[in-house]
Amino acid sequence: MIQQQLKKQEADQSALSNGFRKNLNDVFQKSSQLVSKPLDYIGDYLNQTQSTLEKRLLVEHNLDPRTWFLSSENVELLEKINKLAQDCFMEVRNLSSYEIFQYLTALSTLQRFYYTSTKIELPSSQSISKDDPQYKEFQNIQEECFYYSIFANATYGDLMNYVYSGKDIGRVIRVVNYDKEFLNHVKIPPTDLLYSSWITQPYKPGYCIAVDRQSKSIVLCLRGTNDWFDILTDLDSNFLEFDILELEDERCLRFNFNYDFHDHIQKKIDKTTKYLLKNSNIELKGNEKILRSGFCHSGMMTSAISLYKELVPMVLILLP
Amino acid sequence: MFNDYNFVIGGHSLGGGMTTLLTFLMLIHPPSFLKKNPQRTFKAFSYGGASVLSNEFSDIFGDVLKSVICGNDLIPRLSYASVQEICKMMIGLQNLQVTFFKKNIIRCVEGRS
Repeated sequence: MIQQQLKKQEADQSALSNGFRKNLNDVFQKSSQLVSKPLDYIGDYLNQTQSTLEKRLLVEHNLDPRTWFLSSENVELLEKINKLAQDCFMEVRNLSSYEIFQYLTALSTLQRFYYTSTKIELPSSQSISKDDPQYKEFQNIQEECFYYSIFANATYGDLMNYVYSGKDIGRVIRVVNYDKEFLNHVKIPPTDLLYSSWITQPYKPGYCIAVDRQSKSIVLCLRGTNDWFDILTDLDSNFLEFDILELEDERCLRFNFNYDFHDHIQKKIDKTTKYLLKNSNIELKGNEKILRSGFCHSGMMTSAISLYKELVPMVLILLP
Repeated sequence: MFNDYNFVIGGHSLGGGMTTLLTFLMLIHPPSFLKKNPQRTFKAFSYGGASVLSNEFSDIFGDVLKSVICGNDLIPRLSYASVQEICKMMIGLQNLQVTFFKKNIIRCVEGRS
């Protein structure tokens, strides 16, 4: 009896969730068609003879219609994002609505647990004596952090004005002269902004190099997510395994290529690691030690390596 | 011209993640401007930087890097691995819940009949 009742309940739940699942299925199929099989999607609008002709021509000449609208890098990134979305949401299709409810309750209990258990109680201001050497150190670090946060903020152009004024950013068309805004915000003479590249590409965020006479330092300011291309580098968030090897007189990085990377990015890493490793194909002889091994964000690491390659010769001219 | 100048890196969110990785690369492969002048200081500041490296590399940075995180900010804590961990914990808790609820339902039904 009990088993029959449970079975009935499950059947009801599945009937309820079928409609929801059908909608999801349609959306996923359409998105996968758009990204992975654009030929069939375009082919819907053509006659049979036309589509067969096009397919034959494309196969004969090795063409990819996606590259007519997008660059090859962006196509790879879109594929990657689609894969990530599939990894995250593919299992949702096979869940019943009751199971989704259970997962959500589990999430709320987890949140409650961590909110109560990992709350850090900061010491009150009365209990700290201001003559403590630790307190003075902390104050110095705080002032330093505040001082250079102005540089980091200024790279966004006039975005901070909108944030503080509470206007709706989405409805404003911004035409920003980033150099001018940067100089206005930091208040340094225009000759002290040595180099700036604000135009972003995938795997290349905006940055600038400025001289700060007050603290006698050359400051490299990196901009955060400000563009679609920056969002693409953020979303390329698979993890990448790598080791630090200790050779006879220097250290180097070794990446594992067991993950299915796309060819373009793999080439990019290969090119740049030549610079870092000095020999692109290091053969381990047994003398080397593995210092550490861990993971990193793959999109950020590729962009960081390419930035390192760009920046070091530039800074070498300034600081001999 | 800038012989006695120091070198500083700073950035916010994506730029903060980039600062951590750039300092990491510069500490492993120190360029000649850091090697030759020991008096020249090298500092890095990341404000709300994205989570980029795993925990094993944290002692390499030493006093060079200072990362500022405001309250319960999402971006410094969000990563592929952390999401996977939460999913694992959720599945474990859900399994516990299922066994707990099934027992209770069976008890109720038996009590009524």
